[in-house]
Amino acid sequence: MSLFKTQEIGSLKKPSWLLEYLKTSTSEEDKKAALDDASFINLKMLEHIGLDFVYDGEARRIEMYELPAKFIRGFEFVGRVRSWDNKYYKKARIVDRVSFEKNYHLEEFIFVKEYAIKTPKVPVTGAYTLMDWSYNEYYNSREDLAMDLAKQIINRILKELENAGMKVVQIDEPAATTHPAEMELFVKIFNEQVKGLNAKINTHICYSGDEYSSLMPVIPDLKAKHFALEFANRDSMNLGVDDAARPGYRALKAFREYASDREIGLGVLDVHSDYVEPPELVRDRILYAVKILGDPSKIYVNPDCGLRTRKREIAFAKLKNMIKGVRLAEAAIR
Amino acid sequence: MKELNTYFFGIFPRSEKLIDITRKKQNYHEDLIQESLKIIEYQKSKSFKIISDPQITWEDMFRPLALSAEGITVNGLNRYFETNTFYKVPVIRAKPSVKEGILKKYLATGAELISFPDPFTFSCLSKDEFYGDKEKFIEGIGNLIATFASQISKEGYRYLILKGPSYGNCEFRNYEKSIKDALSVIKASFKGKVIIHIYFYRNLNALNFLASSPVDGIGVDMYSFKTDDIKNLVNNGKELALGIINGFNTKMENEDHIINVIRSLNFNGPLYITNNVDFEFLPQKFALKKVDLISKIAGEIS
Repeated sequence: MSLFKTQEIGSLKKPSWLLEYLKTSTSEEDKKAALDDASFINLKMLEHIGLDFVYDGEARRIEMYELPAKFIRGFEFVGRVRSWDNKYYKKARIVDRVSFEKNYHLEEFIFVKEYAIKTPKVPVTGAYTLMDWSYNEYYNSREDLAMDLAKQIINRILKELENAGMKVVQIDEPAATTHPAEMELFVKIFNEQVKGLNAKINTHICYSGDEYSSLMPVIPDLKAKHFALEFANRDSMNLGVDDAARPGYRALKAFREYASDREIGLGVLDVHSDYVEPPELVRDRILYAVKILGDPSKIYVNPDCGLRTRKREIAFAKLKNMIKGVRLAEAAIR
Repeated sequence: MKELNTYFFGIFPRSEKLIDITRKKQNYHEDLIQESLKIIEYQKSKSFKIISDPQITWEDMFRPLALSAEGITVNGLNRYFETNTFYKVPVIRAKPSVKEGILKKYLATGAELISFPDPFTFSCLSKDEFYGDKEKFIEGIGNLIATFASQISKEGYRYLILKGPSYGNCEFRNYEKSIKDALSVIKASFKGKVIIHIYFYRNLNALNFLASSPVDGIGVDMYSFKTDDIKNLVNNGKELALGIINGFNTKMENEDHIINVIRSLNFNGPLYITNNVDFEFLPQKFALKKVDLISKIAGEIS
């Protein structure tokens, strides 16, 4: 039995044939069939690689913000804004009170559930992030907007997914630590959106900017069992399990202090680099985490974030090495 | 009001068409340059007397400078303050020195104003693996920026904006002397005016410190600071750049309100109407509307 559970964080780059087909095909039925195929291929690829928690690489989704903004009334797209370098995301402004239009994740989840052998983990963009990434031209305050999103939209989506059989959800809240002075608001919004759920609640927070120093003290107040965080992006490529070799993982000490009863999703792959981490490097990142946190059963292994910015062959090579690294770490511990 | 002027500072957003080009083409530098020239013409058409380099070629506020310097590399992504935009962290591995001829590729012909990170902000947002001492680090970066400042003087730039958001959230008190020394060196190396902009955070100590720093003017984010906060700056000998057009929200400002605020200041020195933060946080069509608004307000007041 494996000591460490493994998972992907969400997105994979869309296959080129899918993009081409979606551009040229005029039949909605055919497009749906192509999306089904892409979803199935991603799911089976991730299972084949050996991950324990899987999804469909978000094959049907446009982007983590754009998709919800498209299906929540009150959002109006205004254009693209830089994320970094020449990566952009479509940004919307809020021009009316937000209201529910459709559950934009239900269909994809039902498909994944039907074909998954491993446990599906559904990524859902959280209310705080949706608020923070939008221009607010309607609500009097950020809190009013975020609370409406949490209560009227996200909570309803999650409950419907749960009714459809969802056992694990990953609430993506990359904006969580963007405003350190607003952590209390983040906690309030996060807990509101998961109110009444029985599914296991994971959250993924990445590129915090403050190495999670504002997140750690509020973890005890958050109704999430699992925190998938990004570390490899800041780490060295040197082997070793001491502090000097693992500068990217400094936040683990604070995690031990504040969140010893929670699970960590340990980011061991830098998703913004084509460098394929060798298994030995993955091993040492995991062993360092064990050294700091103890109990391996609370350590899940994953990439820093979704791998959608990498070519598919790079993404799969990284994930394969991640699994090999996990096995090396297990062998070292046993 | 003795003199009212207008400019925008920082990185200007790329058009939707240009974004598409950067996704499809491998080599798109010339497309970036062409769009820069269009934005320069746009400013002229709106009667701007100070023409800003839109810095369309800049991936983030550090990159061209880091690429133009020996001893500096860029590493992982980091969040740019409380935004959803990220930058690649400069890592100082050896004493920085200028690589000749690189920066020029990132400059737009015909521009007169450009924005660089101020030395303190540069030190806060980058990683020092060489100096091992923050004061020396600030001074070293100051010398580097001064060399770049001297270069752009020769290219015809007459305004240098130093972007100083880190004064708002990063402890500067222990480094005041180093910061002033670094700013002095930059000021001495640049033939035109140097204006330092503070934004994102309302830090009155930082504002007062910068008011006494060896630069020509202070730029203030009027969405972080209050009008009362800047009363002390009025007529204290420094020029004032009023960051009163919001680069962080698509909502258009109320023109009358802005005119009233400007008039209420009773400012006698040169006053500039400008953006509070880079326009790159908006889609380009909204940034252009805001440029129009700057021009319109200046016209109304004049």
